[in-house]
Amino acid sequence: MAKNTSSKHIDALKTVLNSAPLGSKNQQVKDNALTLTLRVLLAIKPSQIEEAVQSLEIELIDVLMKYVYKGFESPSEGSSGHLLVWHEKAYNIGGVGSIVRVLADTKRA
Amino acid sequence: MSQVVHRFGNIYAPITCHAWNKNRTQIALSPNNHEVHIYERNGSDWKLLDILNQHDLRVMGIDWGPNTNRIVTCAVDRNAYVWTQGEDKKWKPTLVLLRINRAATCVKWSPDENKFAVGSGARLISVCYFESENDWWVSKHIKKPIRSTITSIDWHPNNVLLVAGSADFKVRVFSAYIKDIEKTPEPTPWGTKMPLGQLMVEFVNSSCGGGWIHNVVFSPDGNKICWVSHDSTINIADATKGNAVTKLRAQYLPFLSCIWMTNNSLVVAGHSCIPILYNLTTDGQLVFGAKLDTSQKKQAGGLSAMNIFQSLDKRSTSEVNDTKLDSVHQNAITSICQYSGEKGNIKSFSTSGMDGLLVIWDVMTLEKTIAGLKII
Repeated sequence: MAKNTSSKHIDALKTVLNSAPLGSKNQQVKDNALTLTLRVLLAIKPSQIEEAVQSLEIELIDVLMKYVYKGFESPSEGSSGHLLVWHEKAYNIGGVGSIVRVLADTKRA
Repeated sequence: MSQVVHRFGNIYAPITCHAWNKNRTQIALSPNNHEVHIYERNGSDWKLLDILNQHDLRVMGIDWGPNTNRIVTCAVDRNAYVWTQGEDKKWKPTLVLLRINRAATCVKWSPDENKFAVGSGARLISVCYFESENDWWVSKHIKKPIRSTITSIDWHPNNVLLVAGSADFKVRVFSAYIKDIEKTPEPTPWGTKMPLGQLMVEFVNSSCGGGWIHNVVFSPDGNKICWVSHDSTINIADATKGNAVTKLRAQYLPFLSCIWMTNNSLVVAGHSCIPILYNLTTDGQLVFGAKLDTSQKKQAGGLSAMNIFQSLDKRSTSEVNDTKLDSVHQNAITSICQYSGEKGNIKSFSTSGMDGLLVIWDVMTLEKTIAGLKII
């Protein structure tokens, strides 16, 4: 049962990252996607983050990194610590290149 | 040694750009100001031969035509000069009117050296050629559809096509055909009709938007282009495969310069301070080859507690802040030039950067010393 929910969490992560409306001009759409993505990120336990990040393609790591930084902008109770774990694991794969792309890309989270 | 480090006199300023003469005995470089220094190799040392002092503002580009032995320079003062060597071995400038109202950013001789192209902040490219009747250099403009500063240009081996990278996040291939001085060009995979200024193809750097182009180069056979941009990606477009673009999202800081070693492998370098080799597989994928800089951090006399306190005392600091990087270059690498070998089979290349160093990297010895390094 526990394994099942964790794999569903990873599916949810892939879905929100794949359908992220980064290029959208509609702020409402972007805000909704941000809220939803952060909900997924914070629902995944720190112990499962490694596994979740491993299953992502490099393009999605970049998208993930954008949401991690966006999440830092509006912290809630305990969210920043949780997002730092995401940041660490994503950084291990994407390197500084991934962080550079958060800054350089014009289509942002 | 697989790499040799050079410093020129007392120059500790960044080296903006450098260019070699034909037999690699002399080098022209700008120490981040309005001057161009010419050095001659003297054993392992360098002798300052001449200072080309004509520009008013910072020099942005230097190119040395190997066969005609002419140097072209361009600068922020919106001028370009063609330098020719007189009988007395002194360099004489000829002003080229580029007709631009912003800084000139980059300059390149065409392969035949009968014309050169200058990119600028005026959102245009000046293609210049010598008109013997009037005894001066004429410049023709390529304007459309450039939307921002041209940051890098390169010539196709056919002496006609020109690729330009721009700060509007796009790479464009133009025709720079001058009908007064050359005959009609043969068709290429990039297109068949080539009047001056014709846009052959345009590439957007990234589907994620952004990433201005730092450097763009044609492959030795002219069928591919490679560009590096500020989003830390390396991109290759192949005209023989319907302009398909291969993109590699690198793990490093953005690359500022790239050079093709062969038609299938290239070296990039930039803010990470190390040159890195990438190979193009037969199915068109770009894969990591190797870091060419294998230097280890120098432990000055071991790390005994006594040494640490002595060094703290000497520098009168209270923290251990070792700022030395474990790479040969101690700051960003801004330009790469071919040093030996021919186009398409480069044996060694030179890099210069913000640390004021010039390093010559020998590919043959690198290939032997680095495990798994293979140039295809």
